[in-house]
Amino acid sequence: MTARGGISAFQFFCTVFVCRAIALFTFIITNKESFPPGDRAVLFAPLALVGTAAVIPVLLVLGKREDRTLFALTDRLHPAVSKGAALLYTAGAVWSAGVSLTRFDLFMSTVMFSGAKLLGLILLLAASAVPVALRGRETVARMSLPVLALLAASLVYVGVTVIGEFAPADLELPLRNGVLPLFRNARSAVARTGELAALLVFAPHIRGGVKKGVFLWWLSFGVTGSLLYTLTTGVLGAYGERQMFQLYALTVLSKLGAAERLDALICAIWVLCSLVRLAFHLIVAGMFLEGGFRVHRGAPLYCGLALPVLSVYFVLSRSVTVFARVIGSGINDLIFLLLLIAAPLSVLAAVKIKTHVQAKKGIL
Amino acid sequence: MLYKKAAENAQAVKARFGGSFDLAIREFGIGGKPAAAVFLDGMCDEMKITESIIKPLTDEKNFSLFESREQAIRQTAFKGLGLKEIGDAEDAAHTVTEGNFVLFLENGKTAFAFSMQGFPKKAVSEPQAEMNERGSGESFCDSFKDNAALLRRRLKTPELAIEQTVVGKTSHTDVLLCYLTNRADPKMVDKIRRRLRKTGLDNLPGSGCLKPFFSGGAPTLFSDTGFTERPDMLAAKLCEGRVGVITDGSPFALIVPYLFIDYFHALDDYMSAPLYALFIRALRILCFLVSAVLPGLFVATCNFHPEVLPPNIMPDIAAAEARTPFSLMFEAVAIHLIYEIVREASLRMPVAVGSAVSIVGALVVGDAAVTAGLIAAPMLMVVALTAISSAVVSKLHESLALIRFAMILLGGLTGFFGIFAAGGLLLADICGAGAFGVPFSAPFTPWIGKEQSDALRRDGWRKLARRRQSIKELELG
Repeated sequence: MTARGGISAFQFFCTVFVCRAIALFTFIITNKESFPPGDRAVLFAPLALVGTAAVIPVLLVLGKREDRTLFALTDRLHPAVSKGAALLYTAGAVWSAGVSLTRFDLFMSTVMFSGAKLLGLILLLAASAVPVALRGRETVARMSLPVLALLAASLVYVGVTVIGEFAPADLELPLRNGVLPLFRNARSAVARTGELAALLVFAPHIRGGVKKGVFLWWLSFGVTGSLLYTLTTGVLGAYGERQMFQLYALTVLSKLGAAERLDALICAIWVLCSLVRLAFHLIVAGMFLEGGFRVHRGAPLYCGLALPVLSVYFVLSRSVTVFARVIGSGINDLIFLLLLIAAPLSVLAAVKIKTHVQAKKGIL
Repeated sequence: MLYKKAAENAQAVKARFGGSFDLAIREFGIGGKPAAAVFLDGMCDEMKITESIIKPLTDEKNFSLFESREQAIRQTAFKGLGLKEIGDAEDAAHTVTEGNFVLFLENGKTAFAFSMQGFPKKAVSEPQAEMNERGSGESFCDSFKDNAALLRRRLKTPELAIEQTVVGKTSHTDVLLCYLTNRADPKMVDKIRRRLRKTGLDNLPGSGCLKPFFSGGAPTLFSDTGFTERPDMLAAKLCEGRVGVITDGSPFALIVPYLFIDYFHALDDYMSAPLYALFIRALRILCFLVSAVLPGLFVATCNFHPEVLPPNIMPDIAAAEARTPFSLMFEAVAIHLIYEIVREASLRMPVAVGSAVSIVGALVVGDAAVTAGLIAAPMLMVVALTAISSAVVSKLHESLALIRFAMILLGGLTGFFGIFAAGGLLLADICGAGAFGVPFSAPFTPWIGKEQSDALRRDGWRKLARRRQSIKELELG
């Protein structure tokens, strides 16, 4: 058993929250018809249920003491299984980092600096993530708390300054199309949350209740999302439905006294979130490679990992259409299914079978 | 090994010093037999030597009751003079460098060293770098023994341990390790002790050279080892379970470990009302932020995000900037460079000329440059505000100077986004630092609720008296 490290469960979930938040802010709603505005207010409830249920296979891998890594199980099967799992999860983390970099670029070049080429900024962001990752998981976990506080403060500022524009008449009643679309949307939202696969390597370094934290995390994330989308719908109304980045549209409206436009400043906070997200994915990828291949997590590894992340970015960022087509193809669902459900369950089943066979042989 | 003849021993020590002019040799008789003594002129108090050693030693009555001269020295009042026995001339030479008076007896098996230090030293004076309104007016001085006494006066408890060690292969500088045995973590003290032994330094010109040996891991912009020139501040930190390191010849004691929030604490906070202490600490943090990012933010705002400024201000700034020949970024870099030059000059110049430098700097930069249309007045205001803010957190000046230039360049080239990316790196630097298992960013991140009583806010003394602050609470298991 590995000694418990320096990250509390609260810090870990704060980090994942920051990672998810930036994905939410830069999320492009491609299929608005299937996401009725009324349902967004109550999405948190199915999200907490579906999300927690979806993470059960990962929690099973962690064991009762919540300190087992995936490699503690795969090593029992065969070293090749560990290596295969390491490659699979590393690819998942690299993909996720590449997608978030692309989302950020699309957001910036679409609304912030319309039509501008922001390669320099993206490279700066990716280059900054490497030294942050090199500082270690504890550093990223510690960073996430002030970043989250800053983000919360900016959201409160936006909320307070636009609340006067809130028109309840623009809100729709939830569940107009029944419960099924709500759960379908919850499932889609959950499928975009691959970050929790990090628990498979992070668990021994986390102090405190992971299982309880998972449900609370889903609930708090769902409530925050529901509140933000309700606010967006109430303030922006039909105008919001035409916006590619609804939350950004909300920040543009926020003003207080002499400060008439603080959207650039608020969105700069999102740069911090992106940095945390990128560094987190690099660390997760590094930890999986360390577990499977016993490699040292140093500067060469993180620089090496940054290259495929940038490759994913270069492929996806060619245009919004390409990005929407790739993301809309259900690749996220597939990745989530593979990394958080299929792989952990397969490993658990294989270990169970092997233990059973060995026990039987022992008896014979 | 010692020579049989006392004079030969004294000559051996003289030879070891390469015939230095300040090594004094005195030859006299004790109990009818020759004796010789060596000491460094200027390092010992000659009057004290005559009165406390030579006169009693040459008085025959003092030896009549004892079997030998050695026994007489060991068993009489000489013991009170920091008496130490030495086995060879090499040790004697080293002992002499510490300001001791070394006595060789004819046919003696050991030499005797008496603590007779009387070298010139700076007296205890007012703090120069850590001014305060209502605290003590004493600061550390250059003598480590005086500094130990200043600390002892504030912590009158046998729990205060002050260990002496020597650092520097050539300088043999005395270093004191101070801690409270019932508060400090023994493991941490042991680690610090071991690191002090393993420095491998040749010379120790000041306490600052020891800082890197106590730091956590990767190099950081902010030091996780603090320093103070105030004995009362060191005493307060020792009460929290921290360790102090006093170096001979340096009026600054090191505090290990040190937290980021400690940079924003001052002794006066504890004399003020808790609410005011909270306000003033928050103000210092604001000054730190202003000093680090204001010039960068100003450049970024004017170049990339003018919409952030109120509409009635922007035209004035634009008009002022239009009259200058340089870009805003160049202007900011140049004027900050000039500010750093003036600061450095006033720091290094003799006091008499220092004021002239300030006047020239103020006239050239402040007036002539604006009048000549080289620099815009708004930029000058930004620089002035930045300079004043950085004086509020003067302990962070070195880090802030570097951060400021980076922020101006990033703000000028990439706007807010570059500044925030650099801010992220800075945050990682703060969150990643920490010595001896204590995160530099504690107690904020990781959040340790019970240690908030004296972090940003300061609880009232009634509350603080009930709960003892301890650095142990911040250590990660």
